[in-house]
Amino acid sequence: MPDELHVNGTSLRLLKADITDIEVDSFVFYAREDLSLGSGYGNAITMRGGPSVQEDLKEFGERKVTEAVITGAGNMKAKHIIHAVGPKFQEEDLPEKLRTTIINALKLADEKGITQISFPAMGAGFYGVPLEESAEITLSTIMEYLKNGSKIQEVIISLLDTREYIPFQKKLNSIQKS
Amino acid sequence: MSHLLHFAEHTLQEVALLIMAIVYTTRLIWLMRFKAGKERQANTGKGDTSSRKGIIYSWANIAMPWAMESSRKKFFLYSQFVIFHLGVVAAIGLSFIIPYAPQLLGSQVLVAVLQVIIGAACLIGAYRIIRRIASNYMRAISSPDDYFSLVLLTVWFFFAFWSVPNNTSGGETILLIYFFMTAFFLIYVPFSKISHYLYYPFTRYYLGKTLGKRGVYPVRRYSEEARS
Amino acid sequence: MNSTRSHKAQKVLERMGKKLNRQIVGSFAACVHCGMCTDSCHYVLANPGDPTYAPAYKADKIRKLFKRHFDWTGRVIPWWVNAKSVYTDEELEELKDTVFGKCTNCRRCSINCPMGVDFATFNRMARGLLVSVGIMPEGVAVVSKDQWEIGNQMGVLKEDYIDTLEWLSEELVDEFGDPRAAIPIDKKNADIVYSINPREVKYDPRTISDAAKIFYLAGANWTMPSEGWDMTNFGLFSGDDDLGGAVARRLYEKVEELGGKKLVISECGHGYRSTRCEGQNWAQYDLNFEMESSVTTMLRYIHEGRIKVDKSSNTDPVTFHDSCNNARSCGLTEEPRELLNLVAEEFREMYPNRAENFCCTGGGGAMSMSEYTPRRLKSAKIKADQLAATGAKYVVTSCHNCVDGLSDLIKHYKLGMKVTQLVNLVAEALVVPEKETAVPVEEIPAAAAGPLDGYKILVVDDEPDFVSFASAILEDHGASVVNAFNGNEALEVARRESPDLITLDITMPGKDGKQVFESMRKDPQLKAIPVCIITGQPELRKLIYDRSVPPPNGYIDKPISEESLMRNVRKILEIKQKATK
Repeated sequence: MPDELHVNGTSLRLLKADITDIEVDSFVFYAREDLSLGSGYGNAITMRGGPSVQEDLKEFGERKVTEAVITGAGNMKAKHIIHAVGPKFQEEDLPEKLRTTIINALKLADEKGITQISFPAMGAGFYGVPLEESAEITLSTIMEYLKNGSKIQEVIISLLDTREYIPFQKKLNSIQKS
Repeated sequence: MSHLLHFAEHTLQEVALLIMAIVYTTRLIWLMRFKAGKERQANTGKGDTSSRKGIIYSWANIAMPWAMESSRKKFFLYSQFVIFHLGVVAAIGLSFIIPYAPQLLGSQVLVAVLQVIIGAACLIGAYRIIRRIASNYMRAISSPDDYFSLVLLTVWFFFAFWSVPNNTSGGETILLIYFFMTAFFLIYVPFSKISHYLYYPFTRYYLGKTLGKRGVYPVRRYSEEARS
Repeated sequence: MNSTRSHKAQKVLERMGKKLNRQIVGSFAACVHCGMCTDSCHYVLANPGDPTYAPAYKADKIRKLFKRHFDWTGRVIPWWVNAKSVYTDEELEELKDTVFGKCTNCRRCSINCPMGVDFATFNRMARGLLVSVGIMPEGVAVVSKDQWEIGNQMGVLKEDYIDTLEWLSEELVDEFGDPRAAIPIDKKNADIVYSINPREVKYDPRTISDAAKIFYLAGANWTMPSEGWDMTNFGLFSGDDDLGGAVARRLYEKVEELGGKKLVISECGHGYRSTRCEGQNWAQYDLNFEMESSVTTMLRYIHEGRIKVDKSSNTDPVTFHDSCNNARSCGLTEEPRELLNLVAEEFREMYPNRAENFCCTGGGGAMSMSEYTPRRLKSAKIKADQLAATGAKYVVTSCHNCVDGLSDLIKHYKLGMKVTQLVNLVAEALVVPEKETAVPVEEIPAAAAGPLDGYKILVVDDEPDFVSFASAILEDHGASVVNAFNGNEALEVARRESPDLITLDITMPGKDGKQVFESMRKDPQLKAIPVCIITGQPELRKLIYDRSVPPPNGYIDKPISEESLMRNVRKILEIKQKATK
């Protein structure tokens, strides 16, 4: 099954990797409303990036669900982190909010002239969005956004393990066939 | 025998039993419609037990007061449980003996045995009512159904006790009350906690199956003597 | 459905319908409120007169939802059977307090129920329902997210894990003078793939090196995986089957990728239960390799003569604490006793034991829920009495949660006992063949003369005796040591001296160590300095699990020994040095 396709000249590909440990222009962190990094990927950002990321976040205060902000990535392999406040734990209107969150992250990347961006399996795992739903929303939203024109050259979906990878690969395959 | 008593002993009981059977069947279908969890893992434990052994042990558990700490340490409560449930069996049995085999009650021994069992169960019922009301632990977990079911059974035992001789010379009131209560009991049971015996084989089957597979059932007993 | 019900309450009820299976429905329907379970629970025994801890009472908090929505009598006449729905988020918070804060899911009530009602199983289900709408103790959220996204419960990054294993390997190679003593990482087609608890990497590396010694001396063809190495599973505690399945799958897939023949699970009760049993059900995964507890492995090595042990190395009286998950959910009760009798001279049973043992009070994720710590320690009175009655000096347990839970209660009730694991006792009792003893154990300090040369260490403690003791050890090994005797002084000295490491007591009068630690972690100048907490107080757990700031780099329980202080200090400093190379 394919792991990559092109939309309007932009590459959209899947990668089995820890999103906080890849060389990339920017990656999306599924953030909390108070923008504190917390545990999980947030912990990895703190440990790998150093204290500067949380310092950078201070200027933004709190953000509402679907909004996104950008910071540097400290000592990480990435250059920027897009902190996108996604919907969580079966909250109301989750699919729509998740789409908007992804679009806002992409718009922010475009605004900042970022050409490479990596997304995790948005909302899946701890925040409880089923993987199939995450794959459907993440991939279709990104495709739609890219179709409307973007300066982003590469979108990488970083998936931690085969459990995450397979539903995304299936979805990508079905998109390509359709 | 009056028409009313004949009706209470026969038609009423048969209708009540039929209703109970239908409701129970529905209940079991309802339970079986929930999927059973699947266990994929290989057995754990010392290898001297299995799901099958666990199930048998689990079912037999109730007859082994030494098997659980709760029944071992509260032997008085366990004994009450045994007598109370024997009382239920005796009182139900009586509702079949009187209409279908009344000659058996010609035996003074059987009458005495039934009366001792049912009488003891009635006294235990009374004690259980007091315990349920007096203990704050029991009050905290009791619903109206818990109180009602217990009172229902205790009063039913009382009338069953006096019905055992099957003697109508002093009037039919006691027997009538006993049979009407039996019919009510049969119809009420599937909707109350008293239906627990319907679930008992299932809950203990699944617990035994899991804990047998895991090498936990039969519970390994240690020697109490080793303490000294 | 009622339109006044909150969104979260609605979602909880919807999910409940999907989670019900025949076993759980049976357990919901069968309870007769007989009260036989009441005294089986350590919370009840330690809180006399308070019925809210009674298992049947706690179960009814969940059962009432089942009765109201899924059971017929409750749907028609709810008040008659105490059936009740849930409407508000506050009610869900109250349920959280019961299912997380008043039960460790130890299953002791389940095996004491005449009806076979498995309360622990549906209590876990209720936890999962709450977690699915984001209602859970903060520590549960922190740990769950770490395990989802970093792959282990303590947020140990891959590079830190590998650095630790390599550091331990160097130590082992030095000790035995043999490069084969190193820990093999990601070796293909090994007979044994060894999985551990992240607590071992982060705070208790000795258990890893002790296991490695045993594998080395047994001549085992073994390996540790670079990923999928965490055999613990917070899904068991949080009730999140998806997390449970994801974690288990990572382990299983890694073993298959490496072509390993057997997955050996280090001593951890919930890890053993999750990996060996539940994981395959959560992940819906059928395996083509075997799994066993390291207790079984060690015992087999002794039986096969692959390692030799001398029990005279462990002369203090020891007792054994059965972890609930090992004993009540996996039947692992006899092998540990057999092993213990082979490596310790005097083993004393505690009563009750095996499947009837009382909970360590730290299980079910309780160690991570700092808001319930006072409740946990109060309920630990039962366990404390059980331990004290043995008169043993050591309590041995095959579970890391139990190690922490027991350590806390031993200090709280001043029992003066120590907690250890079988792997430590076996390693202690190992008879090392002549040719493999390159460096006798007694000579380690001399051989490692000056391992702390060039390091500056700040020792913070309000007890002058402790400061002198620790400083003398550290200086003997080459460190230059500065001291502080209270919190404010500690911050001042740290800023002035910029030490390489701070050892910090967290129970000091005035500004206590916990506050000092948080201040350090928030201070741009100090936040990068590694801190090793020296304490035994349960407050430590909040720093480890709730993590409003990055957790400490290590901790040591008081009273400390030279060996434990040096091991922890060296691990932190030398791994930091490796990382910065």
